[in-house]
Amino acid sequence: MIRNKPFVLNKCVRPKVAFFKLTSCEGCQLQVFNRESGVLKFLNQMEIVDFREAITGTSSCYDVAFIEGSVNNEEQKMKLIEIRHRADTVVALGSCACFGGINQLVASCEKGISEADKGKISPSPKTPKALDEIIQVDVHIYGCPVKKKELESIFPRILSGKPVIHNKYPVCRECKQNHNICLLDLGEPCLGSVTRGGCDAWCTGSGMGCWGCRGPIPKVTQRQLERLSQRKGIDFDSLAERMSCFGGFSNLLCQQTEDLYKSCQL
Amino acid sequence: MSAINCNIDIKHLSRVEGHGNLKIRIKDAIVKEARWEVVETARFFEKMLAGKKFNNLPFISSRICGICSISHNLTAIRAIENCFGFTPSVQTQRLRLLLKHMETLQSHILHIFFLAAPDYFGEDSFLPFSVSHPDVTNMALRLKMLANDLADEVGGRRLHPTTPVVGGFSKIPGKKNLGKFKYRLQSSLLDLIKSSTLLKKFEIPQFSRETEYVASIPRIPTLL
Repeated sequence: MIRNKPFVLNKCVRPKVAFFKLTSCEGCQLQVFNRESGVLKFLNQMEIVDFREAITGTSSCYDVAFIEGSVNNEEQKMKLIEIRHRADTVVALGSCACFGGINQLVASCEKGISEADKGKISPSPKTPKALDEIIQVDVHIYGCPVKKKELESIFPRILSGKPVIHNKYPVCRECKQNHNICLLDLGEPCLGSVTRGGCDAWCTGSGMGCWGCRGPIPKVTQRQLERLSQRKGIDFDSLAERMSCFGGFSNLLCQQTEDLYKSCQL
Repeated sequence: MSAINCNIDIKHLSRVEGHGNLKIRIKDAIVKEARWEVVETARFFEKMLAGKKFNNLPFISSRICGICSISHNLTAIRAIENCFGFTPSVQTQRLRLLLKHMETLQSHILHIFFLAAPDYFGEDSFLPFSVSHPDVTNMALRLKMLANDLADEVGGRRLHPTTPVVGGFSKIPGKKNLGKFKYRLQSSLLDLIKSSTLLKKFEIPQFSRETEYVASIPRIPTLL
């Protein structure tokens, strides 16, 4: 759901934009500066008022807030709630903000961290959370890292208050369009068939199977993927390991455990 | 003379790669404490990686940092190759080194021109700086583009690279494309000379302190 108001688009009034980072690698913020040929034109569409990595000043008055990273502790949670109150539009930038990203992997191995470490290093190392588990997020921009081209195409839509519609087709389609050989046929685990497209088959184009960093396409089921991996002779465990990495497929994996549970009961 | 007591607390220093707070305590005009606090949240990568398939590790560990993701990726690959006692081919070693150099160039250009330089020209950030010094900005963007494009060509992606895998590369760059980059690298020499002359003009305040420099000596002479 989009609840942002359209901004007046003229040269005098530019929307005030703030970039924030919670727990992440800063890679998505770095992507904002990439695609050098048009970077100044892109950045001049907005008035950046808070961007710790790039500018000195800070501000508590902004229209659009881009937030990178997952929520790992109480302090970040409070900060996030504050940002929600101040901003008209909150944009989750990248997989960490959208699904918890690579950070949520720690949830599955929390047992390995000693109590002493938990207290010493971080105030409360609970399961890192995605932004929409805490606040309402208006726009999601998927990917680890985000694709700058997509960011550039989404940004005008945010400004004009139009809804951002994400692709319903999988990465597979883009991969085929780019005339790549199917990696599953080459024995490489790949989640391209179930992952939301829009990255222009970034990883698969260079021979690396898809990791599902952009999350699943609608109506995809665990069983479909299992059948596919069986047919192509790919070990399902390696697909599951990749699915667990960026957090986008967590619901799908929960479904699997439920299914297993049911089959055990029967 | 009246005694000067003050506390300086800067939360989240801006325009640095990474996270840090600065804390300074001054009592009777003497600096009692100056602390640099790294406040990055712990993410427990060591624990995350345990139990994962070895060929998945480099892709995960590159997420430690977006700016130096290539290093994190390549070091993880090297660690795994060392475990297996595997020595990559000379071609692989050279391509990895090329990729690593491009990351260094990316990071240095980012730091010097986009984060630090505006200070030396009395500007607040690189956006006003790009208006007052378009020639320097364009030069910096050209160099950054070269580093990023070559990293894309060799590593598949400028950050969180996709082609380096344990044992070599999943896709190697085309000879024709690398030839174009050779030309671009040679013609960037002029920009690099201009940059170094510009950097020489920066007035860096005198600051020195007793420092113990430590470095590790590589066992294998050919790195990466």
